[in-house]
Amino acid sequence: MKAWFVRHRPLFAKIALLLVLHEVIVRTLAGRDVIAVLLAPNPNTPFHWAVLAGLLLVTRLLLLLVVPGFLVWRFTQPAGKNG
Amino acid sequence: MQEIPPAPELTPRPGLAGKPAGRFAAKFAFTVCRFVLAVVVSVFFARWWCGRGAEAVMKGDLSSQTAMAEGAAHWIAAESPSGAFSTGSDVFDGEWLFGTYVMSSLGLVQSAWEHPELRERNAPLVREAVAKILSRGVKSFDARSWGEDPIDSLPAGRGDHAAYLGYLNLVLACQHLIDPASPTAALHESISQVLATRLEASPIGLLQTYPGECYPLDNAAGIASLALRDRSAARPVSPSVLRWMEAFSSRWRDPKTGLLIQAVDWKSGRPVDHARGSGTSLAAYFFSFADAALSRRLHEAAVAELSRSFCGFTAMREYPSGIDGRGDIDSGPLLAGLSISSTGFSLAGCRQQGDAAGFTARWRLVHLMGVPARKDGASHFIVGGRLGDAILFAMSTAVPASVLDRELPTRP
Repeated sequence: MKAWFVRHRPLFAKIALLLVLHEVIVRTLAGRDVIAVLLAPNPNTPFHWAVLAGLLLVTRLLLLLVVPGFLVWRFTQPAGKNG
Repeated sequence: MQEIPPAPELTPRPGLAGKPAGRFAAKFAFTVCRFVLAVVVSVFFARWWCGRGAEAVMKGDLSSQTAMAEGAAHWIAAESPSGAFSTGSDVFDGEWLFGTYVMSSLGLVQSAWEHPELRERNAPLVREAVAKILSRGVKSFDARSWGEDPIDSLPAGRGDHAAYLGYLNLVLACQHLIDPASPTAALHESISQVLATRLEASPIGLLQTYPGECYPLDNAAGIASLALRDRSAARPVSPSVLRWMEAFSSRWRDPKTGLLIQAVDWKSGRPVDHARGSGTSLAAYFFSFADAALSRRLHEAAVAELSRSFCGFTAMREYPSGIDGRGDIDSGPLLAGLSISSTGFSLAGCRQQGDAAGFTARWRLVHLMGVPARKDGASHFIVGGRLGDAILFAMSTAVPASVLDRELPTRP
């Protein structure tokens, strides 16, 4: 088990990084009116809030909709291809 | 000593492995299976993850309602500077701030109805929210549009102030049921009389939100508040109020779809916008305080015409099929015709009508896109900000008719 985990460490590290990035953005945006950034973007909206709000949704969709499927794809590869 | 026989010569086994075309087909089939499995796992994982809290919210779980109430308390206590929103329009900024306090108050009242033990905590919060609604800064979006203060000009003002007075009066009517000693009882009576007088005087039975702008939805809040006032006093709903509500079953609905028309000409009543999902679902919620049957009809029309489901996630269209309308401040941006506002507002109808599956399917989408998080015991939807928190609190705690009936005094 440990050997298997170590072998796939780079993949798990990337997923962990994505999780950390998502959590950092959530904590940064908590208590701010992100709805104004997303629903009614306008020139007065600070650019970094718009970028963070966009990143938040991208990381969330990746974590919920892409990562689980990717793991299945990766670990059902025929022997010899996934190490 | 026995001699070991020589090993037989290895020859390729006949079958798939021996034929390049067969080997390719097998590999291809395996890859397709892996891909399908990956997609299925992803969808089911997201469906499970996003739907985890839906059952508790649907059942009115105390801890989830308390956490949402704490989220509302956070925003009520927070500073509300003029720059709280930045939609690019002073009117919309003001409307959103106003809407935050209105929806927070309704959520607080509803959770107190469902859990009487929350009454002591929620009643002062509603008073605080009402005080903010009545503050000069929050009133200013309406006052600027009409050129007069909506409260100071009572009862003889020249403007209708349909949205400001209507939504506020609904909050006051609900507040009265959990906090009869509230100091705003006299204001509630005063606004009710003004709304009734102005509706009687209107040529179409609707009031203007801003000069020249008339929205049936905003009137739904005011008319529902008048009906709730009568019901709270244990008297029959007045014939005028019944007449105005009846128009929401006939005149202000699109005859083909049954959806509520979003905007009409204030003189003739002629539609000037399409029938839309956000307005229909929110009006269904408002009328739940006044007429459960009308509320159900509006909700059912919205579900029948606008609901779209995929793998356990349900979203609502803003416009009926065949109408390619644009997103605006009411609907938010549209993605393939689907509206976040319309979807969020329809949570209330699903809960009130006991549609647990519909509620859960909508909740999954709200969870996926709203990004819920807890901070200091308060739950927030990160992407929703203060307005999103308030709306989802009010919609996901919307009470069925039986709970409201329990709160209302019985007729002598």
